[in-house]
Amino acid sequence: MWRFANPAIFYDLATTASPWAAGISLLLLGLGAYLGLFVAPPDYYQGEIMRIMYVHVPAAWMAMFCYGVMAVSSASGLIWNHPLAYVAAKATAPIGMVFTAIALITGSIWGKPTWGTWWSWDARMTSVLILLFLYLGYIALWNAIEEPVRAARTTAILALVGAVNLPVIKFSVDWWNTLHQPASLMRADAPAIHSSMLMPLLLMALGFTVFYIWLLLLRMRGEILARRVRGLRLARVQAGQN
Amino acid sequence: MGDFAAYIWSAWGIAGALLLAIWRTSDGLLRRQMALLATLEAEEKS
Repeated sequence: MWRFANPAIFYDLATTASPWAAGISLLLLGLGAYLGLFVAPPDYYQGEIMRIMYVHVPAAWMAMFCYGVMAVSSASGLIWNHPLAYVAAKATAPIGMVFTAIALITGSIWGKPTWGTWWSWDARMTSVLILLFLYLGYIALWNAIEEPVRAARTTAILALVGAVNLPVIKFSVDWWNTLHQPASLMRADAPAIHSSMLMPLLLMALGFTVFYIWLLLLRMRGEILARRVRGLRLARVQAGQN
Repeated sequence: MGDFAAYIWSAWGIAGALLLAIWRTSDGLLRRQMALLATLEAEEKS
């Protein structure tokens, strides 16, 4: 396992895996979008507007999943001091931020015809907005600190502190009275959703997950090369001084 | 999709555009670093 955590070996593996991840994610997303937009029946209560849920719900799951990955990678970085752990956390942040933005925007567009408002300061929506700010803060902090090791450690602490927000998002609909409805799928008893609607939802969720892996591999490869470039430049400056 | 078509296509369209944007920046980041590294390595050899 640790053998694959070597940046050079990981880079080669990621280069091989990237096109596969790209192909699989596009296939899953294409199929999920087709089923969600054209095949799945309209919802009994919500009607056609329910079709927004096929992109909103998986995006919201990914927003939380990406932050979870960021927090676990950051913790691994702090404990084992492995550079790839920090690279994974740094590479995940912009992808997670985009999924959070998608969840907020699509939720808002769904809310207008359903609730009659674009936005409500209820616990679920507010905690997801805080998640977006956490991502933004994390990225800003990485860019603000020039020294890479210090930047990695400081941002890792921010990621870990921010992880407190994840259970708040998940249980906000149970802990407080919210306009946002409670969970339909991830609940103790059976999912409260028909299989004709469950299929596009799961395909989109799986498609988003593989899409995330694809972009993670791209960004991690970019970051590994950036470190190599930094190393070469530093060596050149030192050689010039001697 | 009836009366809700504009809402549905807007939501899916914005999501698609954002996913496309993050892919383009990720791919661009990798390509930029590849080009930089190739230049530096070529300079090392010459």
